[in-house]
Amino acid sequence: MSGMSLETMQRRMLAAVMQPLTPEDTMRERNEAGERMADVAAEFVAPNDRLTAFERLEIYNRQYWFRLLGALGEDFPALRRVLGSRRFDALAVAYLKEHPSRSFTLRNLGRELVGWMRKHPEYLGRRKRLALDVARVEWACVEAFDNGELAPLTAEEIGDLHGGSRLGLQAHLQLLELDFPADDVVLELHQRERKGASEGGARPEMGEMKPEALDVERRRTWLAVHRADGSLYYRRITKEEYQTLTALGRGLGLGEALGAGFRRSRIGPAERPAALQEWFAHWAGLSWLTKPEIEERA
Amino acid sequence: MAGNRFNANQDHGVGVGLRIPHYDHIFREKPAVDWFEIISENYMVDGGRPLAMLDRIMEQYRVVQHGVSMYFGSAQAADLEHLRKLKRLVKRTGTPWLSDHLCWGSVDGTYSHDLLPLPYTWEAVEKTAARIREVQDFLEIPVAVENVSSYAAYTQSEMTEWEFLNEVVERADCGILLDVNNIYVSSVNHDFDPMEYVNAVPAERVAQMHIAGHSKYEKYILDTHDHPVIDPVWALYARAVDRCGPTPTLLEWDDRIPSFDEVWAEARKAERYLVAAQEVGAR
Amino acid sequence: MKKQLNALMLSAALAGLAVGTHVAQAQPVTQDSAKVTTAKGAGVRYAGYSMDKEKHACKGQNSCKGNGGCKSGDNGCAGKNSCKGKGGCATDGSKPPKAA
Repeated sequence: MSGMSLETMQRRMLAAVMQPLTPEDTMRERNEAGERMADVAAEFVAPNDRLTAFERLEIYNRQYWFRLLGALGEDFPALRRVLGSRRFDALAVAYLKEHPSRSFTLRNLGRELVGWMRKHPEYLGRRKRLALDVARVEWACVEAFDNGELAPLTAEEIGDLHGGSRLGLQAHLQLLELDFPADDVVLELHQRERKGASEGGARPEMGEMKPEALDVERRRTWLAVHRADGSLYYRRITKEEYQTLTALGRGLGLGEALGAGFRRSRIGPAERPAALQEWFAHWAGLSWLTKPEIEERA
Repeated sequence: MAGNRFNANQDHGVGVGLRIPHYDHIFREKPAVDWFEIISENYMVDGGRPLAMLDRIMEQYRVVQHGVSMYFGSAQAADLEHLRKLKRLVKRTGTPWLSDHLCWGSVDGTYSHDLLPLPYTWEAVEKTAARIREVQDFLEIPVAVENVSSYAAYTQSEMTEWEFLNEVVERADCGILLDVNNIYVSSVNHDFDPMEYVNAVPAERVAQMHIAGHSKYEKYILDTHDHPVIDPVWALYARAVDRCGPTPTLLEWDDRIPSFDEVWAEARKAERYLVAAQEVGAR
Repeated sequence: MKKQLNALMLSAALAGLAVGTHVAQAQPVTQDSAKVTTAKGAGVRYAGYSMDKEKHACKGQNSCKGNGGCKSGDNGCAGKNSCKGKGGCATDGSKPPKAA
């Protein structure tokens, strides 16, 4: 290591630490460049009378993967059950190889997973769309759990609204259009997960697990995942609600968003005002509507 | 309990790490814990239950922040977004001092989420001390650096770990969070006398101490925070308190977490050492 | 005609907003508040799973994907093979881990 700068050493060591393990959870003999890991380790790690440089580096290599796989597994326990532990681990390793943590917090580790899964259906087993929906619901839960809470609209602000007004959406509100009723699946699997968790520390059992048998039929589902008083809730919404809310979230004016909400709708024109009144009352009651962010910044 | 400038002259006694499985017990029983240490990163979020729980805790207890991802020893510039979020939390908690580890863990914006040991070189001394100063200036509160447990040593090291620690804290003019369990773990993994380490630490800079349990394997020890404190670690703690005087002390228990009462009982074993040191100081 | 419908829809939305906001302000948010109960009636379900997690700790990790560590007889934890698929390996070389 003599002559190697601190930065070069750290870059070299981190690459070694982040290298995927063998199927037996040991450090690989060679890295992707074909170098012997024993030689790489010896560049900067000193052996002692009990452990070689390779073995010492291997401790950190294993810690890295155990920690990150554990963190990802905690965020996607239902996905792990849908895929089974082996397939989930393979997916997680491939994902983390492509998307290592770019954040100081493990909270964001799964941020790119859904997008990555869309590009890599080969990791999703036979129930690809279900796996994707389950992952989307679980990531929505992560976001809804600790995203910020914006102040809801006040009566005074509502009084000033007109057709061109823009509204913002609550920061913890997550809107999903799903191919399956994946909220049911996630609820069921989280309950099974909870039963399997150790009593000591709400830590899910991360042992080997076969894919769960699930009897779920495909059905287009629109879902809002949100938070009230610190707890997470799912609320099934209609396609029109979903379309209206996402239109508002995209920054469309209120009038335009209402129009977009009823695109390809089966709800007849005569019924729409009543439906809208009910939806907006619910959304306001749940503090889902806020001032738009742009106006706040200005 | 007399403090020093590295812990804002606070009189914190024995505390424990705040852990989620204990929330219910704490809110229900309101145990007479002097203070709680929180892992900063668990509360560096924008909202929701983590912050709500923290606010409830702060209604009744003092909290001190302890971080795990500042990576003072990473060779590249600090993450400004991280620092801003940390400062926001510092303002919320009013933590009198803040600690993180004397280690590295990120390169080119990629994070290992591990506490990787530094090579004990002069280059690392300079860079790490500069980073600590930068963080301390930004946060505007005293910063203490914690010695880590390590499982690897570097061929390039030019000094002992305690010499490295001393050089860094002198140059950074910062405090030390002395983890006597980490000293023990590293002493076994690297074959040095842990008492020599404790005796070499600049006592006047020790802002806080950590005690914890670990796991023993055939060829090394791992700092798993999942067991009670063992006697050799208590012996190191006794010597450290003897040298530094009564110092805010915290028990870490992060895995296989037992009941709150069990954790608190283990932590309170530190009190007799602190009382003894106080009596010596009073004479 | 279309303009009239749009105006009606906008009025309805604003009326709903006003009503919902009034209800929300009148009933402070608590776990069992009318606010949530009302919402439950409208199809809201408790997600039913604690999202409380502490991912950040400064402990070392050597659990074999959560199975509780390796047997020291397998070359310390550098030996590893015995870990996979087994619950509760010894963590200190002698005693089994405490029941969690």
